[in-house]
Amino acid sequence: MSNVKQLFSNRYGNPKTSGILEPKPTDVTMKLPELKKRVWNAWTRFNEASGVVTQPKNYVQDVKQFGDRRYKVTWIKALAHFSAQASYESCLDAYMLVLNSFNFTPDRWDYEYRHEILDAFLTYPDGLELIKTGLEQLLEFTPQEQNEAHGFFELVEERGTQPGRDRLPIRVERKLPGAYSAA
Amino acid sequence: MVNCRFNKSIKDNGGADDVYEQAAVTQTKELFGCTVNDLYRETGGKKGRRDTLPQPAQEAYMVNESLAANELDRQIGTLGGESQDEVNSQILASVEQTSKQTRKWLPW
Repeated sequence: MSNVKQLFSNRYGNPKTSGILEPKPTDVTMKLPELKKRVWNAWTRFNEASGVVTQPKNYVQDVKQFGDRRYKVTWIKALAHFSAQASYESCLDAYMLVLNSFNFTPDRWDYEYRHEILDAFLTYPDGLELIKTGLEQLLEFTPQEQNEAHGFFELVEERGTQPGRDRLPIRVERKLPGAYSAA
Repeated sequence: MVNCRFNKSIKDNGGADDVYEQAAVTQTKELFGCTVNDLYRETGGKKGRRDTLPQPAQEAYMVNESLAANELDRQIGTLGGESQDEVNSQILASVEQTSKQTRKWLPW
């Protein structure tokens, strides 16, 4: 019986600890075939960004490091890590992490997995430092341009309320676009 | 800022999602023959801050992004596709083509 429980827990996630596969009213849950296609794309982007020639024979092994491929949770982990690794490897300008890579808005296909992707990025020793650098650079932008990163700011605020996730040690002070015209 | 104009040209052509990351990878590969991380590592720059790269490298990006933006602006309305991936691919092909041309003018 315990094996069955274990299998169920592996397959569908433990709602008490992960909540990752629980349908949420506002979230669209990506179907597995689509998710797998996205994982492949993220994996090839990661390879290209890190200067590695994509060799399909390595794919299965690379995905397997995240668990049993029969479970959706494995593919979600793989997607998060390959996406985060691609963002890390291609980070020419740190502000693009804030304005593009992690600027998640509901119209993006990866919005559903935004927290998992950021979690994966933060596993890099200098991941947080890169985000901080990006925010410092963003201060040089106009208030309108800064506000384009609203998806990132919302992600950070949301994260602070999530059980099991640490609040990011960054403080975002944004000036409202109108604040300048009054000066 | 040249990079902002370049990004705007990508956006104006319908580029979205990871196309910006891939454009950085494509440019770096064509102009310097290496990855973004390698460029920072081998030149002693601080990752994520292109102002810490050697001046010639900064200039190469600047020139290339300026030319690539011009070409992308010229192509507005002609790059299309049935999916976002297809649109992104066409934009990246344009950036790659410009970068190959720019590379010919670089002294290394």
